Amino acid sequence: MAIDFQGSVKATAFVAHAHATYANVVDSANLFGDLFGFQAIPNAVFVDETGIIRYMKFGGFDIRMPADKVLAEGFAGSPNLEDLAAQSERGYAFEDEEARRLYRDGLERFKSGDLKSALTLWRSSVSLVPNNWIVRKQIWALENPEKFYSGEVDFDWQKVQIAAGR
Amino acid sequence: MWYIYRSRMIPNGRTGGTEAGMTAVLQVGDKMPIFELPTMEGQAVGLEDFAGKRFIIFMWASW
Repeated sequence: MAIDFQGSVKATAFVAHAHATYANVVDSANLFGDLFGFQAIPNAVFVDETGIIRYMKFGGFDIRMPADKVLAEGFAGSPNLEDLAAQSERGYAFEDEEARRLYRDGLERFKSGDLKSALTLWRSSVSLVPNNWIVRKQIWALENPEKFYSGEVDFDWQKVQIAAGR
Repeated sequence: MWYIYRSRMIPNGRTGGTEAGMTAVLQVGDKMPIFELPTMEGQAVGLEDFAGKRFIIFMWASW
């Protein structure tokens, strides 16, 4: 699931690059951001066959990492899912309601074409929660598309932005 | 609108929500609410597509 308010236009190339064979959807309206309240990605949510959420990790879930791979494989094959809950990590929960409201209002302005107001609202949101990477990095991507969509994502540039408090 | 979200369908009373307040968010142990989102090609995928199956929602972004 791509958390991209710019929609599939930006996300499609990454899916192709990954040769993903599973269903890939786009959440441009921040539906899941509202449902789960996170301020960083990559995230994982495990849902069992009855529809109950068994595990979640906000920020840093990477199936290539041994610990996350073990969790995912265990979830797929284990008859007992009770132990998963204790391993959940919600360290990047987005809990500031005013910041969430500002982000959501900005999203509505963005969808209506009012980019200037959207950016103002999003910056206000980030000022309340500086570690909200969902908001902050989407501002960066919108204002500096060449750092994200011209070949490889420029992580060195991002480090400079962080150091400068942008 | 291409997505469906019915906060009232969350059985434990959480309201989560996109319209009427954002105080409660989903936790481990909660029922996953009905949702539907478009694929990259514009086809709808939702909770019902995974009925009776375990599944992982992996969230990432282009940025």
